[in-house]
Amino acid sequence: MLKPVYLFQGETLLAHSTSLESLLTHKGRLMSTPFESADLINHSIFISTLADENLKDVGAERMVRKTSERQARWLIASGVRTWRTYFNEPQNKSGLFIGLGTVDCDEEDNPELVQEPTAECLATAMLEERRPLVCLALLNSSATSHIAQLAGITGENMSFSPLLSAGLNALCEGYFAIAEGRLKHALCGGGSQKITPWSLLAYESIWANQDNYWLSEAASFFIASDEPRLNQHAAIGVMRQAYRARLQNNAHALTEQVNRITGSPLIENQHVVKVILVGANLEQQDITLHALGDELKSRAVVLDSYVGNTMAAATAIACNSALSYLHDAEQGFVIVIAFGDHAEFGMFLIEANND
Amino acid sequence: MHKVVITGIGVTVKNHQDPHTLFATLESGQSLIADDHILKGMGIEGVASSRISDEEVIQLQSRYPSLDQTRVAPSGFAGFDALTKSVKDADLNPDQLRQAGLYFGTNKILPTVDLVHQLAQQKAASEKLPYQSPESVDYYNPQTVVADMVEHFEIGGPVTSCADACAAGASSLISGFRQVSRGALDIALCGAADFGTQPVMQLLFKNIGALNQAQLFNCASEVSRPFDSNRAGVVLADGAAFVVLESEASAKQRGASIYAYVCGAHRCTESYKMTSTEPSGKFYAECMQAALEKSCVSAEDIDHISAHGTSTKSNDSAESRAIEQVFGSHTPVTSTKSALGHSLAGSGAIEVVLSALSIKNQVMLPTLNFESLGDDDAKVSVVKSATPKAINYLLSNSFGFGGVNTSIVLARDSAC
Repeated sequence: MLKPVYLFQGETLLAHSTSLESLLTHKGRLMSTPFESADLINHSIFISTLADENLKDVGAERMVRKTSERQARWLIASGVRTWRTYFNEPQNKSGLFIGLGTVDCDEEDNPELVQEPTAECLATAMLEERRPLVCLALLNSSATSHIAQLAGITGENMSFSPLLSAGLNALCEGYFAIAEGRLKHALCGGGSQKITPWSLLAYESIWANQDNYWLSEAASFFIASDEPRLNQHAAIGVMRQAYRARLQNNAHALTEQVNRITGSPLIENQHVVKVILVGANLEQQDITLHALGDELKSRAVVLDSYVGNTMAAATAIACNSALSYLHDAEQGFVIVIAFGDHAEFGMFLIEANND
Repeated sequence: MHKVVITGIGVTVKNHQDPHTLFATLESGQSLIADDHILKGMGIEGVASSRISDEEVIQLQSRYPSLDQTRVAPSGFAGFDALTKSVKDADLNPDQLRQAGLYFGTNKILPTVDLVHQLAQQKAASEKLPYQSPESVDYYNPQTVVADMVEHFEIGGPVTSCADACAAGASSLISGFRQVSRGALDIALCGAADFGTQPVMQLLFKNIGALNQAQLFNCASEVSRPFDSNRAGVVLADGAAFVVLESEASAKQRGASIYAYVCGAHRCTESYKMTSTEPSGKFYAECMQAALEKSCVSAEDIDHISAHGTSTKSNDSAESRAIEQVFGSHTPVTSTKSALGHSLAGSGAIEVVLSALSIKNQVMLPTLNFESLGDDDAKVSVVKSATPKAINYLLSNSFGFGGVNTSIVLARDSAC
C-alpha cells in the first residue's frame, strides 16, 4: 500500500535571477542570447545562463568550494537552501534524489598544461601541475555528498545523469522512497548541464536536428514528505500517482498513456487546474495536446516555452510550477507530463491540499 | 511484496567473458592483476592494474558491429557484452524484454591520451579553445550505449542511468530490485560498466594518493590485498556485469533456472566526508544492519560476506570494524578485488554476479594476498583460499566516494 506523498515547494534557479513565479504569473519568457559556438554544428541555438554561486551563504567550507565546479555549485546552493527552508536540524529517514549533468572537463583539462604532446609530458602535467582535487570535482556523486553533508541527510540517495531522464528518474525514485515508507522526507531535484561548447557537441545528437533550440542552465528542488504539512508553507501538493514508462510506437503509445491518466478515476469530476508538459519535442507536444482533448488542452502549459530546455532540472521545475499553480486552489489537480531521453515518459498527479 | 530472483548473469573483465569461467579462475587463486604498461610508457613505474587489453576491446567491437565505435567507448562495449550474455543466460524472449526495465550504472569516460595530445596540438596551432577536435563527443558520454541497449533489445520499461561512483553498480541493482519487488516490473536488467584503468583516471587517483604502490611488492599480483596489514592502495580495473532480476512467479512460470534470491537491500548516505568514511565504520554498519532488517534476516543468518574491500587503509579498516560490530568475528569475509582489482562503477555488479555463483556453487572465493590484519583493523575472519561452505545467505557491500553506501542480501532459496 503506497502512502500519500506531500510536496513542498523549493527553490528554482533560473537565468538572470528570474523567479519562476513571475514567469508563470506573467507568462513571461526567460531572456536568451545566441550561442556563438553553435556554429560548430551549423545550428542556431539560444542559451540562458546562470550566474555562479559562491556557496558562502550555505556555510560551505573551503574544501567544498575546492571540490565543486559551476554546475555542482548551483545544485548545492539551491538544494541546501530548499532543505533549510523546512528543516533546521537533521531529520531521521531523510534522503536525496538528484538528476544532474555529467561534469565535463573543459574548464579543467586544459591542454596548455602539456608543453609537448607526449605521454610523459601529460603525466607530468597531470601529477605535478593539476590541482589534486580536480578528480573529485569531476565526480557526479561529489555534489550529492556536499548537499548531504550540508543538509545532514543520511538516508538513501541516488544521483542520475545526464539529461532530461535524470530529473524524471530522480523524482520517481524519491516519490517511491516516501510512498513505500522507506523515507520520511526526500530532497528531490536536478540541475542542468552547464552549457559549454563541449556539452553542445556531447549532446549534439539530441538537439542538432531541431532548429532554434533553446538551452537553459537551471537548478530546482522540492521536498517530498510523508507528513501532510510542515510549518508555515501553504503550497502543499499530494502526489497521488507517479508513473514511469518508455514509449514505443510513439504516437499510439503516447496517446494511450495520456488517456490512461486523463481517464483515471482519481481525477474524474475533479478540477484540473493545469496540465504541464515538460521536455517534449514538437511531435510529442502535438500528440499529447491532441490526446488531452480541447478542455484540458486549454489548460496546458508547455513549460519549455517559458524557460527553455533545462535538461535534468526540467521535471523538478515542472513540479515546483505545479505547486505554484496549486497555491491558491482549494481543490483540484495539476497533471505533470514529463518526457525524457530514450523515449522515456513520466506522469505525476499533484493534488491541492490547502486545508 | 514479490520475491525477486536472479535468472541471468553476464560479466566482462580482463581475459574473461563468462562468469562461470571467471568464478573458476578466482576459485583457483589466480589473479588478473598485472603491471600497467600504459602508465609505464608514460614514465610511471610501479602501478598495477587489471586492464582489458586493446586486443580484447577489438574483439568486443567486432562482436557487436551494430555499435558505432566512434560513438561508444570501450566500457560501453563491455557493458553491452555483459548485458547480452545475461539476457541470453536468462533466455528472455522479445516480449519479455519489451516489458523489462534497464538500470545501468556508470561513471565518466575521460579523454584518451591521444585526444589530450590532439587537443594540445590544436591549442598550440590555433590559440583557440580546442572544441572542434573530437570527431564524436558522444564517445565521451557514458550513457551513449544506453540508447543502443534500449534499441537493440527493444527494452520497453523504465530506463535509468545512475552515477553513484563506486556504488553505481550495486545502486542500479537496488533500483531494479525495488521495481520488481513492488510488482511494477517482472524483469529488470541491472548492471554497470566502467574502465578504471583509463590513464587519466589512474593519474587522478595517483594525484590524490589513492593508487596502489606496486613497487612495495614482489609482483603485481600481490598488490591488491584487502584487509591485509601491508595493503597499500587500490588497484584499478576494467569491468562490466549484468544480472537479470525477475519476480519469482515469472521465473517459475517460464521454468527459468534461478541462481539466487535477492532478499533485500539498503542504500544510504554518510554525510561525513567525500573521500573517506567515518573511521569507526558506524555508517557502514548502519547500512548492513538496515539491509538485514529489510531482508528479514538476522546477522547470525548470514553465512558469508562479499566485502567492498578496496585494499586501502581507510576503507578496509572501517569496513572490518563495521563487520565486527554487526556480525562479530566469525562470519567469513572475502574481497574479490584482491584478484580482480576495483572496476569502480562496475565492481558492485561484478561482485553480485560472483556472490550469486558463490551461493549456487556453495563455495567462498578467496581474498588473495591476505596474511594478517592490520593493527587498526577489527578482528574479522578473512577467507584466504577457496572454501566449500553451506551458504544460505550472503551479504554484498559496495561503498562509493561521496559516502554512498549499499548492502545487498542474497539467499539460496525462497525462504527469504
